[in-house]
Amino acid sequence: TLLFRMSLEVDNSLADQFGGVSLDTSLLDLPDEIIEMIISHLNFADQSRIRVNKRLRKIEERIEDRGEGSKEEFKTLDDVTSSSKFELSVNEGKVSEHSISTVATVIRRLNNRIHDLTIYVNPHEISHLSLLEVLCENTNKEVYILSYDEQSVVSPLTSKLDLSILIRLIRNCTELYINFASSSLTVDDIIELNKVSLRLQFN
Amino acid sequence: FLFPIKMTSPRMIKLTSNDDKTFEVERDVIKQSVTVNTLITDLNMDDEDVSVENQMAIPLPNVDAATLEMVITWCKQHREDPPRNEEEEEKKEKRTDDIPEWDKTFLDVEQSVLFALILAANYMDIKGLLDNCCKTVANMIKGKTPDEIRKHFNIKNDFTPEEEEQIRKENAWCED
Repeated sequence: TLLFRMSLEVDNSLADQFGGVSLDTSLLDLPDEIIEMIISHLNFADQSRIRVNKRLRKIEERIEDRGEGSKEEFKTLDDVTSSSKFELSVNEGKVSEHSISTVATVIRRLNNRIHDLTIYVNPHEISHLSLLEVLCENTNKEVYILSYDEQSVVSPLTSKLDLSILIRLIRNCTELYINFASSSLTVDDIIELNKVSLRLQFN
Repeated sequence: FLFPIKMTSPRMIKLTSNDDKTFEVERDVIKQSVTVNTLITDLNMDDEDVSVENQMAIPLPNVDAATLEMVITWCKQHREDPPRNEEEEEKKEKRTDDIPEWDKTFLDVEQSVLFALILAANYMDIKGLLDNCCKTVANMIKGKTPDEIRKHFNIKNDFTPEEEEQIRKENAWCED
């Protein structure tokens, strides 16, 4: 039975003079698991570009985190491959940093494939708060939200970081780290947050 | 003193392609195919009393003669390779610039031949060959735009205008 254990049967009806192999054999004649192996050798930019038809898009989008494998820390989007640690700095118009829309896209696209996600936001940019909404909807990973300026205690952004956003994040993330305080959080909010966190741990 | 020396020729295995061509290959060479290797073991074909003439040929119904010949050539070239540790391979960084020079030349063939080789390597479970073939295809994809990929691999765009627009937006960051 071992001889027949592979799922793919070659359609020999198309076989031609070349030793029975169809000259039309193409990338799409390969089984999904092989195409997945090929795509896993591409960086994130090439993986994004390989989505040239419905089947390839579906295959590409189900490639997941490869687990405990490579632990390289990649610095740019082009270097991202499966199972990367991933760091992004958000800032409009600066070289080596990325716009909010780019970061939002990356969060949506990388949700299933990266091991660690760290997003650097500017505590003085209220617009960066929109990324938390994207995180709430998309991530199920360990999330760090770090301020550029670790001395910032109260800033326009932190003042908007309220209980409802944090609860939504906690529900989705495995772990959440924030290194700045929020002026809109009261002691009661922190207690409530702890309760939610504990409930989630025991459910 | 003269001692009789028993000359032992390498044990041979017969493989038959789907177009009925039979190849004789050294046992030590074909051990790289997990599928064939397992079958040989399960069928007790390593029994020394059976000569190659009386031996049953192993049918490979998913592999044609031309491809099987290439597979055997690859296995001969790699017969001295150390056994692969799949756990270690999984942990390795995914690279495509580490294909051996001999393999690069060997795999510099028409796409249809390369894909037939991939199917054969998958069916015969030859991880090293499959891996290097996949890396070769990945290298063909690298750096190409979606349109160039479609053209290179003759892939039809079957997206709806809405789906295409969605992909275009998602790819905007890598399209400069």
